[in-house]
Amino acid sequence: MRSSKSRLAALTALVALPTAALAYTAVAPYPSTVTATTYYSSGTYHGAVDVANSRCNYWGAETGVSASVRWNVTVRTSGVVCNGNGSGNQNEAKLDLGSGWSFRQWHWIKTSDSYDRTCNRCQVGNLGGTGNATGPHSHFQKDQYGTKNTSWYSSYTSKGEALDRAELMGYI
Amino acid sequence: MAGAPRYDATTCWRDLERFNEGVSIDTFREWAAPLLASRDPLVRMYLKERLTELIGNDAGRASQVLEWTRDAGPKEFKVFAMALKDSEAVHLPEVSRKMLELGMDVALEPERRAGVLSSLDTQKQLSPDALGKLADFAKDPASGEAGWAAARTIARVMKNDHERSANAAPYLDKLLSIGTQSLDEHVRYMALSTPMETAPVLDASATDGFAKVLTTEGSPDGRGAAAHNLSLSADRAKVLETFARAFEPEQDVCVRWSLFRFSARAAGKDALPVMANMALVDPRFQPTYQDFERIYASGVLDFERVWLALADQDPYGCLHRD
Amino acid sequence: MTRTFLLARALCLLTLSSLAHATETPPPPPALQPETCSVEGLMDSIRRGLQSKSPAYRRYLRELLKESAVTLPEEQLRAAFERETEPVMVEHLAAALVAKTERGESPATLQLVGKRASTDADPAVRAASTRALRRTSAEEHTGDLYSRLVRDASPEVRMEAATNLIEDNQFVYAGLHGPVSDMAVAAAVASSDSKVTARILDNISTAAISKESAEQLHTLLGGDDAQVRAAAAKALGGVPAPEMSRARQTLVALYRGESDVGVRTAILQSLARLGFASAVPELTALRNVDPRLAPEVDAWVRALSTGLQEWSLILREKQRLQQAR
Repeated sequence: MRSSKSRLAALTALVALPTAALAYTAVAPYPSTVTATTYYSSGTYHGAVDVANSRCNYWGAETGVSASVRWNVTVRTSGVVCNGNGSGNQNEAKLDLGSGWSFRQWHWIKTSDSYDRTCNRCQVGNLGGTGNATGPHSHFQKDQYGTKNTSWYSSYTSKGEALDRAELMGYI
Repeated sequence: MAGAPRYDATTCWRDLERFNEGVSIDTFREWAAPLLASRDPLVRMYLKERLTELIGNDAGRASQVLEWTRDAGPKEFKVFAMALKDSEAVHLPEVSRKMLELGMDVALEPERRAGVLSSLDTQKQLSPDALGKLADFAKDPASGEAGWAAARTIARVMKNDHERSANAAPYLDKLLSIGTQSLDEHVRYMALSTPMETAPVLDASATDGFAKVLTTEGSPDGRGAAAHNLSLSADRAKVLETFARAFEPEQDVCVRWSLFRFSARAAGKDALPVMANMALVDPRFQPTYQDFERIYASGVLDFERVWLALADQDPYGCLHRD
Repeated sequence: MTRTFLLARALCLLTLSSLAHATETPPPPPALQPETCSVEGLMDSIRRGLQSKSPAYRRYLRELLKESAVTLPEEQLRAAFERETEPVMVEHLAAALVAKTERGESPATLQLVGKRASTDADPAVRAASTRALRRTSAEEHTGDLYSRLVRDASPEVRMEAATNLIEDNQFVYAGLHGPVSDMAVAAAVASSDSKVTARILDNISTAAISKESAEQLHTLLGGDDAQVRAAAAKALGGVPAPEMSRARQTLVALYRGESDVGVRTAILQSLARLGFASAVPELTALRNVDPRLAPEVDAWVRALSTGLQEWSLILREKQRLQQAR
């Protein structure tokens, strides 16, 4: 009988899980400053990345993934809101990644571009602060089955850093 | 107010062809300086990939680039560290050893150390010594963001190793020790939540460890992550019992929601009686219970599909707490 | 000292001094200057860059053209595409035109590529244009293009189209978008190339397909080609809830009458997927029908007995358990 160690050593080239095959680059949706990372945040536990720019309703909010993917767009607030209108009212673009993984982008202002769409960094709205927000920003959050995952954020970008549009934020 | 530019014009670099053909590891830093200083994300990604090619499988070149990371500017640093991470040479023992040493060098600022340690994320495995050093470092109250990155590196390498050899136990053990001993909530959460990326089936020891977290961890998010991991325990009966017992004393609705939905991930429709009891304890869970009951009755078995079929995946507003 | 020695010494000194010279004065750095991109300039760079030994550089040039597509003059880009006949250059330009649509602009530029994929006289150009549509929203903007591409006279084009349907399904839509899954099933049915049909059905998610698509899978189970029957059997394992019970009954019945081992293997997998733990008695009952597959039945029973509740994890554990034995 072979030892369990040698059996383990024989385990090679296993089935790749659907999750393992997917790796997309998350990028900044407009020229912005990183105001919260999955490590640093002010106040209570955040578990997400925030990037901000003060020019509310000026910059288009591009979907923050550098690949053609299908976004499910949910509009909960129709008006122009820059500084928050209460938790649960945020406009959302959501990407299903399979195996229960999702990536969400929140707080943008509704425009004529706000509908379900398959695209690579298209604008789904304008930079804004709908929902639970104190100013115009975009909140990016990854989860599996509703549990936040904070590890996607790149260690090479830091809080306070200025990001160009389409600059790397992390890998999802 | 005038509309914002919808697109940024791209930049084409004169003489880039000559750069590409003529650049060597010795000239890279000097030659690349104007490109690194530009606000052109595309050319920076090219530089990262070109540098990875130049490093190749050469320990000396990798060490040279590692030295550059000490004093590089922020955008330069990103290119250097990421190029190292993706290089073949990063798998040479002398290179990974030096990277680990530099990542723990207190002379470096925490964010830089975090970046250096993250360059170890592509390792195929970690030796017991390296694993121990990373775990101790992650638990060190002074490690800050670098400790957070160290916990992530353990989790990432666990995933690599597990895919290749089904080996997760030593990594899980360390993640559990970080998740229970670090004083930093963010580091604990990193350690407690990242097993979800590997999805290992938990043995008895890991099951006991995460079950303990349900009653000892102060952060609701950490307790929720422990429930997530427990849903893949080899001992389903024990997990259902643990979840059932933990539900009533648990005061946070979001953790209750974790115990509730991960009961279904642990045992499928066999979990429905346990979930029904939870809904009796907390009537807010009645509509959600009925939703699960409806989905299982429709013939869906795969938890991934159960999750997608839910009328609301965030019925208690747990995903966004700014 | 002999003359030979002196000559050798002189040569050695000369070599050393030229080496020293080389180390002291490396080539001057290139005069890197930012410039505005143009269609012609980018095309020239790409043509020359194709000779480069650096994959990083070639990838950069391809991405640069794609990124530039939204700000370059569209007429020039279209004209260059229409003029170009070299397949590798067609592919670069086609990818740029498609990228313009993908950034949220009109589908017209993508449709131009779709038209060339189906009408160009050169099969290599049709294949190149088809590749440029991969992992994009093309299926939403090109009508019945894919049902035509999978019937193309060139086997290369047919196979590239199959790859697009598979990769779009997985990477763009995560297997969750019904209309593109239905389109993939329709293309699989439309193709007369059994390799293409089998490859598509073997690799797409059927989690969101319509009743009509499920019906087509049932029809394919009765075909002559064993590869197609196996792929259809596998695809039926992933159908939506309302179709699961019928699929299960059909597959159990089919197993006994089927003689091909590949089809039977696929049926076992689908029964496991459709029933999870409840499939164990069904699988056990089939164990003695084909002794060649008794170990496969046992492997499924062991994997399902882990009690895992996700199909992807059951698949993973089955493979592990088999390899560890």
